[in-house]
Amino acid sequence: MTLRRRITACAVAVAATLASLAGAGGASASADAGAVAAATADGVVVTRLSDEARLSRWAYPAREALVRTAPSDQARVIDRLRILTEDRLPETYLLLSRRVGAGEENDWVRLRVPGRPNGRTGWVPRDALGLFHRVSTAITVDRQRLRVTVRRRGRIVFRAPVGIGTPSTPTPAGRFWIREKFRVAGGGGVYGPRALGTAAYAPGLTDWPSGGVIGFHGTNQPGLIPGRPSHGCIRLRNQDIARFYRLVPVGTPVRTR
Amino acid sequence: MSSIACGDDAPVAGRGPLEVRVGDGDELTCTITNTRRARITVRTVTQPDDPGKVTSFGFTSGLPETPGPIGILLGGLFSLADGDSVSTSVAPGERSVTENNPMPLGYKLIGLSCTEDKAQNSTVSSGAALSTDRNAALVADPGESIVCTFTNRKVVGQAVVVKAGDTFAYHGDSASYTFGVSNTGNSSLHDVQVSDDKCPNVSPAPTSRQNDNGDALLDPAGVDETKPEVWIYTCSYTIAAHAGGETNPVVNTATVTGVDELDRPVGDTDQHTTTLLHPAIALTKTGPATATAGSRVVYTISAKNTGDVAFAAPLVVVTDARCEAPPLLIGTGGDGSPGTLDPGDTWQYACAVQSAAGESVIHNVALVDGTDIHGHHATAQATADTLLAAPRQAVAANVASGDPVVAPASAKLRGPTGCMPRTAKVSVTGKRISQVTFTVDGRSKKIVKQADSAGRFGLSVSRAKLRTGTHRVRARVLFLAGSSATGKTLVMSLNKCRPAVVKPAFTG
Repeated sequence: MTLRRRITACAVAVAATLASLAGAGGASASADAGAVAAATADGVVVTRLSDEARLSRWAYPAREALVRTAPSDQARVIDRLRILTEDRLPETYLLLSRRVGAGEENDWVRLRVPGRPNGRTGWVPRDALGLFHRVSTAITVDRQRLRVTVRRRGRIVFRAPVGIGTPSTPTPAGRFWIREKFRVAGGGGVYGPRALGTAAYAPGLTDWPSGGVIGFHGTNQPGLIPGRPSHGCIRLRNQDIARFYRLVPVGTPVRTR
Repeated sequence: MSSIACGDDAPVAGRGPLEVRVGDGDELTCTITNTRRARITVRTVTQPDDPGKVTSFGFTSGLPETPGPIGILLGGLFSLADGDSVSTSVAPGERSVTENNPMPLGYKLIGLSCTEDKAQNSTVSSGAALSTDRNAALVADPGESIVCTFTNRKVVGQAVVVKAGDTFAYHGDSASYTFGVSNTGNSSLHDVQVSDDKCPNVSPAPTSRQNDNGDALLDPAGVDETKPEVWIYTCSYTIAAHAGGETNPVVNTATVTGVDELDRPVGDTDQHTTTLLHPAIALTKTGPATATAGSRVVYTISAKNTGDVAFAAPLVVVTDARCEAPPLLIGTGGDGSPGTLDPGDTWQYACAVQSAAGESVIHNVALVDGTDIHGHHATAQATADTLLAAPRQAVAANVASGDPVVAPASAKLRGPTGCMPRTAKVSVTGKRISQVTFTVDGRSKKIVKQADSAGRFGLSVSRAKLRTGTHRVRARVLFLAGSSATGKTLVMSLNKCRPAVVKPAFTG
């Protein structure tokens, strides 16, 4: 075990609740057990909110606040919180950490930001987000083995073959999350009966309607699975997407590698 | 020849030559009687063997009518070394052989036996009389051979003390010790005494005895003759308070002394080690030197084990009276054994204090109470003061007007996120709010001047009256006069979701 992982493992045991520390600012949807906190000498408490494996936190935005590069009103703006996804469903944000200093105005949350380029993170005021929700599931997409794996609290609960992007329109690697899930209008078309939207965007499809969101969905061409037939989306057989849909809640972190 | 007797009327007897008068014509009858002599042999054995024959044991005998064959028995006195023996023939009758007291030579007569090849009618000292009489009373029958063996054992006096007691102790504790004294020699000991260089009040007499035969001597063999007697002494003393440079661990030396049967002193020592434990925790508390009155101030608290004994994690209790909640353990510094606060470990805690408007300083004391593995406590405390300043705006007003301190004002807008419910409850909470004006999508909806019983200025929004999509709720908050702010505008979004059947905008 590396030193970093050991430190993380130790820190995971620390049940630091932000609500009981400075600037709770709104209730959490669940207890903050598992949060990892560290206090700096100047009294600022930084709490880790997600490990993106066994415990992750997410929230809906409460308003269209500016997303900044640092926890300061003076920091550069990189985006704005969105209330809705491209599919007009409530947008969600995966929360990484929280930084609480003295005073209500010093309560910031670092989160992952959907959109191009993939992989951005930024800071928003705590009050720009709703309640914190927790998930213990995590998704891994293995682009070499063409396989998706769902873990709950680290234990594998689902595994299925997938179809991913072609070499010219690849499924991007990185860390994302499930932003939305829904039944597909029309049922058994190219998207199959169920779909889940992620925070990943197809790198080369900037002109795609609604920006080229990568999603998990079913298919009407199960013979292409496993394979590399898509524009970046991750296709599952319809019977697999049905079970995947039940197992995976919104906010679940996704890692493609 | 034993005797000769001649004559009948006036017999003349003797051992010859015998002079008798014989008249003319007398007929004289002389009877010569020959009695077979006996042989007596005396030999000595020593334990352990003394091959160099360093020590000779003296004997007194009533044996010879005539000097012995090699002059040993001259005057009835003779001496023999280990393994030596002497024999002499004697006329039948009673004889005696006595060994002089061997004690001055460092030996003790432990056995005397005689064998006779005719009638077993001699007697020897035995039992308690053996060491005092040391005598063989022999009845030498005619022609009999008697062999008497005197066995002398070298006297060895040896005592052993074994000390036991507490392995760990704390300052102020009463340390208790026991001393088991036994005799591993072959001589009983008397005047046994035990002392200890650190514990002055050792019991003068044994507090208990094991295998003791009750003869007031520490015997090498007690009631169970295969085991020595063991006498138990005890001692206790109070360990003094910690002193700089004290020796740790404490090594006590116990000494036992006694006197053996030859009045020679014997003794032994034993050591016992007691480790002194010093449970101690140092506490440091840090926080901002200054903050704004009414704000929440975070403090960090470090508890370091500065002693030499561990504390189990559940038994390390950090408290801080002013903190909103008990300080939380936020880090163990990479402690490889997070279950215990080991010597040298430092654990980090954090807690927050909500200051009040008008408050000038946060003074609170963090306390730690650790209980070590032996149930002893270590406590410490630490203080970090934070000076509180009034909000900048209020201070300016006060300086100008001289009015009383202005209370800080605050407001927060809360409501449902995600898909709004059938009726969305939006509310403003905070301090010193006088009025809240709600608008939805720019249209004024409600002016609330009075908070409800929960302190909320609320607005209900019906989903049915909204179109699908996002709707902006704006709350214009006015504060009471004299507050740190005059007003504040808060915004949030409500989302009326479309039915969850979607044609996705995915890349596919």
